[in-house]
Amino acid sequence: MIDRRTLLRALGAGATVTVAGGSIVSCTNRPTGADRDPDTVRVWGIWASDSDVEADVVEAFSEQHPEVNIEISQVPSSGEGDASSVITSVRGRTGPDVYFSDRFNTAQFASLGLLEPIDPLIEEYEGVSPEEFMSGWVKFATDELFYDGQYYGLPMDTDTRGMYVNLDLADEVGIDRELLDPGNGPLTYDQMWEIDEQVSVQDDRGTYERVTWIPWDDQASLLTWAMTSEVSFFDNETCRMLLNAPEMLAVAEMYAGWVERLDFPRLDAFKATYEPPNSPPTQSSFFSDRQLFQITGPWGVQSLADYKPDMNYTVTHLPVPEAGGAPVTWAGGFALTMPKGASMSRAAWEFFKFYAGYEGQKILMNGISRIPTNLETIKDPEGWNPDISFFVEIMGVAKSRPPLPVGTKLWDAMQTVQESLNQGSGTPEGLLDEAQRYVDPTMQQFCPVTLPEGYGEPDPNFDVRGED
Amino acid sequence: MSTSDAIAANPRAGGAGTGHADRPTAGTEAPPPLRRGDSGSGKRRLTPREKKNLRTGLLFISPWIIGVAVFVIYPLVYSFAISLTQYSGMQAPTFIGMKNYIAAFADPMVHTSVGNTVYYMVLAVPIGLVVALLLALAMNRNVREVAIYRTLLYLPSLIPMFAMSFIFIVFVNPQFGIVNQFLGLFGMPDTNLLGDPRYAKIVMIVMAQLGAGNAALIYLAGLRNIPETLYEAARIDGAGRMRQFFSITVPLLTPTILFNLITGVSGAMMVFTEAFIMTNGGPDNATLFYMLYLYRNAFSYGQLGFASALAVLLFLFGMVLAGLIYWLSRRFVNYDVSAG
Repeated sequence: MIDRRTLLRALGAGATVTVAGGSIVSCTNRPTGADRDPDTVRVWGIWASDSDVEADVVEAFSEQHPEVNIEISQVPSSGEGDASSVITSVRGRTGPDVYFSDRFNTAQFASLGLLEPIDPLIEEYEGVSPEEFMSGWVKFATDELFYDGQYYGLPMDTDTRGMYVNLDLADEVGIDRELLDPGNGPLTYDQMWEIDEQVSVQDDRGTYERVTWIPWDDQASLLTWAMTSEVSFFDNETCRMLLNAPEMLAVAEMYAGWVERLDFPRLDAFKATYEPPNSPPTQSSFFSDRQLFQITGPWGVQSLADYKPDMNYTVTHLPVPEAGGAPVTWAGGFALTMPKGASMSRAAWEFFKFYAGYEGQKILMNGISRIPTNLETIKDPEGWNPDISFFVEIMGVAKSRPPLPVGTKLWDAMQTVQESLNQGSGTPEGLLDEAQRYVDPTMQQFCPVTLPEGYGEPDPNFDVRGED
Repeated sequence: MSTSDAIAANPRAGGAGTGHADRPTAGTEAPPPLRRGDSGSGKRRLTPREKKNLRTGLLFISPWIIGVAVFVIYPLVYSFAISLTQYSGMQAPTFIGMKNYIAAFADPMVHTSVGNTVYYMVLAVPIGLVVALLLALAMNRNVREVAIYRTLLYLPSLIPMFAMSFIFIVFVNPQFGIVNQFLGLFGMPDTNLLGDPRYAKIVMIVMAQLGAGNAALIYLAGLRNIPETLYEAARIDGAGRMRQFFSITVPLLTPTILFNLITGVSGAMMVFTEAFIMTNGGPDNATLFYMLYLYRNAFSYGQLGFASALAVLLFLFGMVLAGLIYWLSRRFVNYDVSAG
């Protein structure tokens, strides 16, 4: 048997070794903040497929600032809201100085302490108030970067959602082209079902060979249908999530009806056949002429140009419930941020401002077919790819998600409700109650919060082509 | 180090001795006499030579000690400490006592993920034990080209799980996948197996069997350890192949089965990669395994405190389960061969 003294000795030795081990782990002398080389800017850049366009931005910047050394790394994110790479690198003191990240997560990341506010940099280097400086970008995009009284980044691109139409397929089944002209307003849900009867083809085993649309595919989602039905997810007055409010319930019930009507397992099998998970960008049911409508963002224009240049297509509005309804859509996008431990140096700020400013956005947006958020770039006729003008024009009606510190959780909750509705594993009411219980308690930890006035609404000052 | 030194470093005298008292040690020196101050407890001070040996010994195993301290004990203690806090990894942690643990028990997603993980474990581990044993038996055939069979059967285990996940996505393509085409022969309609909560976990359980080669190698070593004479004796006594298998092979293989059972259970509790790549927890949270939910909390939601509480609970559950298996193993594990 081990006696008391031996036990104590063993425990003491164990504790010493553990503390020593811990010291080895936690004692690193990698510089962070002001200790970093102020003229080297470490950037975690855009997704890999567009890194060549980003390189053009860096080149343009370097011509103006030869003394600054820009080091770009591509660090892929594994999914919506996944910050594992940046969290671990910031903890390991190897985080970037500039981080290209999903704007919708900014408030959440800021609330975790992962990001540095940029207000001090604006005041120090620009000599104006943060509000004045930020007024150079689309309002909803800067709203998404606002948390607890400070700004946490500069907006990069934005995107709206539209419905791409395979015109050859539409002609083949004899759909009136007038219906597909965005100038004639959005299609109604009823019209979608009428078209579906003409287009859908199932073989004798019930397998879909051709489909009209998939209301849960790509940018079509329960969240999209909630956004286009003008559902509020959050009550600013009471600081409560509204995921089980009657408006949201009505959308979920409508969606559940669609799932039943389209026979989810069959349509899902169709999608997994022609566009399996992680398939290359060239492999898509829309590209292979098996799907009439595809709901996605302006980048679809780029994909079509790259991978299916001969497709005869057009883009129209998302469908709406009532005939004569106004066009609706929603917008998201990315931002530049500075994670904790970033150098916050003058050089870093200059690059930050250049990339998100007029020149940087002009180079980038033309190359990646997305919409600029810098007002000057939007007004410049050469500021973006003219092929996406439909998406830019509907910015005037685009709503955005509320910039909440529980953004990622809200997104996950909506995904869960959507999947459960797809699988029929719960009632809309029960699932939304569960979603509310999932998100609201976390939200309460941040209450009261002050969201910017007019958040989520289209920008009242948005003005394409600078008609002022 | 000479033999006598080695023996001296392994003192048998006294109750606090750490040596294997059951092993006879040839040429043993006389046990050192008890010294002053050790009366009664049967303890004694180390001689200078023993101290030197102890130091040398510790020095020899120091890479291991440091490794365990840095990569096992420290994270374990640290993880326990932050499980008592609200902590995003960036700001100073706030002590909140047991609230994370209470939240973990109340969280419906924890219930879902535990359910999924236990379902996976209960099916994947026993099936894995049987499949690996069958592979090992095939690898143990007494034919000339056995080396080729061994290589072929082990080959799939060399494919990393993430690569295997991508391969399997193609295998289960609703119309073109080899698995679906096979199932189609029995009249199954084109189904997205990964998109259906009933089948997605089953796909992952089946997929796990392609990694059975590792366990099979361990079985193979166990099989080779069973003396051929036992089989000869059994044959003389008229035992058939099945009888030999169940009365000799299986009982004498039980230590190996126990090892594979415990590593299998521990692996199943930590299942992550395939769900992360193939379904990201879907459809409808059917493959939201415990580790995946833990990962999401830590790195998507920045709730490191809560995630650490989940990790501590998993650790405790794993320890209890391993203890239970050991306790049960006393009833079925036969150490006759390995002890010999």
